[in-house]
Amino acid sequence: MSSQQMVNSETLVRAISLGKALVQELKLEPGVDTLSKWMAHYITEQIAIAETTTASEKIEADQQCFETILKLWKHRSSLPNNRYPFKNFKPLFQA
Amino acid sequence: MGEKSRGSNRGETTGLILNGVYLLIALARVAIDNPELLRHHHLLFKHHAIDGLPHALIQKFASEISLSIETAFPGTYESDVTEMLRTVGISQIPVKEINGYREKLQETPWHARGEVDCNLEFHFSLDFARYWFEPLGRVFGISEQQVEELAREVILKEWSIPINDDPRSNLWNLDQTERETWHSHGSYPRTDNYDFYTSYHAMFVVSAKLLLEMPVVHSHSWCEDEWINWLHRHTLTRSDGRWLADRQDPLPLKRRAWLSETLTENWCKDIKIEDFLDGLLTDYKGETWLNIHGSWSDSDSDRQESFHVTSALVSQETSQSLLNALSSCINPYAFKLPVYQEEDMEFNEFPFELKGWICRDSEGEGLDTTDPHAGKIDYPPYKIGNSIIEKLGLSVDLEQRKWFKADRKDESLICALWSTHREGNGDNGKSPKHGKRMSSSLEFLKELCTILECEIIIEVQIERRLRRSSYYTRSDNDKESSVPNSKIYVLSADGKLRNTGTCYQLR
Repeated sequence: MSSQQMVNSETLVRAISLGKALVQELKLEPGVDTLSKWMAHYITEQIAIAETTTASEKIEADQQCFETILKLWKHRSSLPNNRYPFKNFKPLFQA
Repeated sequence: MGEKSRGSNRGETTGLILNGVYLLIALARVAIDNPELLRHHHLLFKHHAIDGLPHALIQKFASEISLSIETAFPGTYESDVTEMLRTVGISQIPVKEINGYREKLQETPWHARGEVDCNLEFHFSLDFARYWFEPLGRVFGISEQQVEELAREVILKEWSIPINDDPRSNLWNLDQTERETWHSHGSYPRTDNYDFYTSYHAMFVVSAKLLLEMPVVHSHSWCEDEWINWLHRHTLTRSDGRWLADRQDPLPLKRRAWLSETLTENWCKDIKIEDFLDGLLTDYKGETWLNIHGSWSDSDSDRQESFHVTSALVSQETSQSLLNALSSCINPYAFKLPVYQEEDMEFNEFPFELKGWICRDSEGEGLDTTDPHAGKIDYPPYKIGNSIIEKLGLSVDLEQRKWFKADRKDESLICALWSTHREGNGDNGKSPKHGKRMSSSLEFLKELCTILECEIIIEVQIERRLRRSSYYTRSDNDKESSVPNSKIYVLSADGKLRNTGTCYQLR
């Protein structure tokens, strides 16, 4: 077996760091909502990719990010206990 | 068990029951591998299956022996006899559907005809009626009282056996052996005393009689067949006639390095990256294999270490974010990788797809769980999910030990079960070792990823604790060390195994 360092280590470290922050922001940790955590980390992964790429790659990452935010939103709104993400932003969105 | 006891119920009682049930269980196992050894006695087995003393266990194992002989030597029995042998232990009366739990108790035909002497004097031991007769009564919708009265008739009228105190009772009343004959809450005692033995076999005679005369009742949707369910608890664990001991694998040859090292104070917490890889990666027949599902432990007199590995299939596009998410979880108990078709644990919301691929079944414990040769293996073995079997063209051997791909001669997966535990003696104070582990060749896993267009996410947990005998036990076995250390990896079709920091090219 041979081992090698990850090629995109900087992007990955950034994605993980952002992902942890978003998970905290959404109050998912501590918690057992694996799908929400997964989506949150996917969003930050796409953000990290968008930050370091251009042209079609960046557009694709932006698009994935956008779509996953909607999915996360939908998933969280279906959860019990009123765990609705961005709840505090609702008046702002309505305006 | 002898030919000369045939025709006399009393003779059969002492000659067959006292020695016969366990002998028949053993002979039923012999008949699977070597039916020719028993062929000469085929009429004797047929007699005990069909014409002999009614006893649900004796009839079951005698018929299994007979059918093994018939399968190996067709024509041993007349066709109508073979047909009768096939129906032994199966109710021939249509199932009676009832609503609710024991809504209305039935009366046995013998009670209805006034043939049962309810004034007989024989006292069953405490709780025997509640935990042994009552479950049997439930199968036929009758009261435990009526089962008890029928059992009393069997003992006193049919067998006419003397009611004596067991002369060995003083041995079992000693402090250290008082649990030897306990059968609390329906559990089997380690040793049968005379009282239990008589009551137990009378119950099986009553059960065979009830099966002939009364319909099995069905009241719970979760139970397909109340009779089979009841009988299964009193037969072997496996339904294929083989024993748990048949499935016992040898201990793995590869042992952990710390077993030959001196115990250090921080051993419980001193877990390195290499330890996780040591549990995950292995080699078999000169090839790289991975332990992809299971739990196993090893120990010495001071230390015990347990591995828990689970794996699931994840979509390629989102595998990295799942790896990041699970690796960032503070508590490894806050998530769980799904087994095959595990409800609420699999995700199927593109591109967030996570699916189990290994089945974890459970099996009720049977008589052979106390077989010292079986140890305490965690039966049944893991299986691969049906849809994966179809897509990959897999087949498995009789013992569900080795899995083969249609286009390969050598096995692609192996599920091993092992245990050194021995009932009652605590492994003689030595260090017990046990495990249930599915391993797979790297080549197979790469192919799995390619065909299913997925990657494999794997969680490896290591738990370490000090055994009571250790000098460091008090200081090191604190709450912190009881939380397992966990690492998440993803394996892809190109043979790369990665975690959040490092990528390994496996070959």
